[in-house]
Amino acid sequence: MTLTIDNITKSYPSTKAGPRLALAPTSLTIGRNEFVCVVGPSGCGKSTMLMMMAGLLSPTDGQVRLGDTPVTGPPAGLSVVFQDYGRSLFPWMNIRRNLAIAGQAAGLPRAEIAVRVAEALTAVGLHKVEHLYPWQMSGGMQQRVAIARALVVRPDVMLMDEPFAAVDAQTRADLEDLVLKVRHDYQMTVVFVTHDIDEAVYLGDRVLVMQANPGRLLRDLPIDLPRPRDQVGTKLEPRFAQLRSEIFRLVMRPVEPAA
Amino acid sequence: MEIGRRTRSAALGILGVITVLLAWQLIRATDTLPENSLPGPLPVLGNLPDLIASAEFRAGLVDTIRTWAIALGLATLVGVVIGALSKAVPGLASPTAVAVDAFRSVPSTALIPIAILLWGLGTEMKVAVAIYAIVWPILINTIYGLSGIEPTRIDAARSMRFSWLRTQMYVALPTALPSIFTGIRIASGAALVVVISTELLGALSGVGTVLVAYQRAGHADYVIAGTLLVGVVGVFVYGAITWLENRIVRWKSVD
Amino acid sequence: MTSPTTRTAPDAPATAPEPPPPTPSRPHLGQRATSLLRPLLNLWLLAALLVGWEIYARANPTIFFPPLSSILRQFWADWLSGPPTRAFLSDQFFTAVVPSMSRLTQAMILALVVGVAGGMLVARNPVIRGMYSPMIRFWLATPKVVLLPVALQVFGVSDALNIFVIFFGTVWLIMINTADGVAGVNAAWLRSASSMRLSRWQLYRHVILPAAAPQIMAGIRVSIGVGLIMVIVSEFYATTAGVGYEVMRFQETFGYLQMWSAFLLIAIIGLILNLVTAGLERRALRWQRRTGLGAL
Repeated sequence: MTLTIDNITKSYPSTKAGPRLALAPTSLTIGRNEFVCVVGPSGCGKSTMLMMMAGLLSPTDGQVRLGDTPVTGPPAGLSVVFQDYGRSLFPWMNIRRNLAIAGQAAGLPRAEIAVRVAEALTAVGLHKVEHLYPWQMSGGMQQRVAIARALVVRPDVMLMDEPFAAVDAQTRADLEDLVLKVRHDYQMTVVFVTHDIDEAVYLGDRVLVMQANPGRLLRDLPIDLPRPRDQVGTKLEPRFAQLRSEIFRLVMRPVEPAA
Repeated sequence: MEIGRRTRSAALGILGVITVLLAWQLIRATDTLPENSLPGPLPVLGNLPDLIASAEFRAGLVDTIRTWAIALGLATLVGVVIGALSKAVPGLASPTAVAVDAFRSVPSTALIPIAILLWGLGTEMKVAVAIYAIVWPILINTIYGLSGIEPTRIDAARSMRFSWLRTQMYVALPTALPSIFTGIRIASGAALVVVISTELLGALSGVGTVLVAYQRAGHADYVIAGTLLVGVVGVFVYGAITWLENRIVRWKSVD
Repeated sequence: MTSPTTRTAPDAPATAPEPPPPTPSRPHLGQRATSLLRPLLNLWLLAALLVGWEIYARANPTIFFPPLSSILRQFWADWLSGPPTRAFLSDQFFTAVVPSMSRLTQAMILALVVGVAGGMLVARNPVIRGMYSPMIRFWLATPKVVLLPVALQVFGVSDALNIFVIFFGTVWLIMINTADGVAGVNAAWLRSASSMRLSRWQLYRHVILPAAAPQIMAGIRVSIGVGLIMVIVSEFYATTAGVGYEVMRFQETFGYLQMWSAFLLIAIIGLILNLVTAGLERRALRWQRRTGLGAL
């Protein structure tokens, strides 16, 4: 299913000086099974854009469409993985219940939920954790659970909002490869917001570079690195270094006034 | 903007009160209860000025508040002193906490008949029961507040060669004050409950006694009006304690 | 340090200091043994005070203030002289305790249902909050016992009087705690729930209610203490059965030893209720301690 962003803006009526523009008019089409990464400095509106795609925030102007349907609230067939796994998993539920609730919300029958939960946990490489609670796990494992919960509904689109910002480097590399694997297993579109340029280049088919004040899309860059990617091999390729320094220069560029 | 919000919230609050009064009038209109046991809102509200003007009722209120203040003052003194002592003597804090937990589990009102035996029906008895009811939260909060002292501050005091008493007065007490005030705020509500309970159950003076007299005389409208006035006094007392707390404990947010 | 259960003061809505999260280190065997013994070791002061009572009462004999040992003997005769099949509880125990506890239970269930539902409404609907939160705060600050004469007017001497007064004494506390808890539910949980497309019922049942549970439980725990105070005082004021009535009956018939023994029964009921609710709270809210959210 195509995810279309049609000329959306977001502004907040906050200050005396007038409304604050969080995202200037932006248009974008994300094709089926594409892996799109979004990078940019803080305040560039990347999370705002993602939340509008998720239907958790409504655009001030313009429209988001999933397939042909306009997104007005969280749409079916779309899952979100948040940065703050500690707050997005429910600490009063064990892991099985944390996953099952997503299936219940989607109205799946009981037996089907059990199948999907087992499948999702296998997909993220967790075994025998059904009866643990989130707070009994490490941060990396909790984020695996959060990804598994997103998979329970077998989504067409998975949105990830800086999901690995709070884990250590080793875990982060593991989780990156996990995302590539589940994206392949489940054949879905992924939109991945990050502030880490290496991560964006390593994961994406495309990288969207954004800029702040006001938040806007600066460049849409195809990543022509071969797949499957590899933490050591891919990152040693000259093309990887080239892409990464190009994006780095874009992100670091002094802010120019919006057109 | 600010003023607009205030009028809006005041209007909503008044609207809420009106809905309750209407519901009350509705119960009255269905006549499920006889007029002399539950009068409608209008006669009750009409009686409020009479009641406020009544010397008997006012004297009762003053007596209740005086008893409340004496009990709260004494309980604060006792609670803070015992709390500070139990913290000062090593190894005494935990046993004190266990004992306090046991004593405060006893519903204080159960002591009223016993207190009547021991002290009679006067103010002494009312104060005694109230102190039993409220000394525990003050004591516990004192211990808790004193437990939160920064060791560095104690060290600073020692390096300035403060005496023990001086350390308590200028370092320990101010640190514990926010917590002690929490205890006093909790205690102030409980004290009013207990004082009025003793008055309903036979004490010789106080607003509760006056209400019981009205009830026995069949003045249901006076009873309800008086109850509402006591509620207003309760709100006022709570507001006063909170105000005092905010005035005295200004540095609370710093820690 | 004080034990965690003691820090929640008896009449505190949401203001009582929270115990800090326990240190996660797993004690080895020797430490565990001492940690089990410690609460017992800390009982010495309580025991000393009770011995002090005994000594004082023996030194100053009066029928109004008997020694603890005499009260205990009377307690045995009054309440624990039943057959072993009924855990030695006497007939008198059942005629006194059953009415009181049934009133408390009925009133608390009513207060819980009304308080939690009302608190959720107030927290989630701004118009209802604007209309009724001033009134809730008014009733919260009112000394609720003062309603006894009104309740006697309306209900007469009946169970309804006791139940009404207990209910009215506790419902506001549960309501305000629920409202605070629901209003304070972390936005990330709500966002997460909303992205999963939870239905309204699922949202309340699986997210909002459990997330607000710590504060609701705190409200309930304080309410049970207040409820017990209200049972006793309402039974003193107007009733024909119950533990409070027993104390009053013996006081009026000069059965002072029996009066003290009935008082001791009330004290023990209070103690048990306090321990049970503290234990239930700890069990139900394991997750809150572990995530350290209690510190927020």
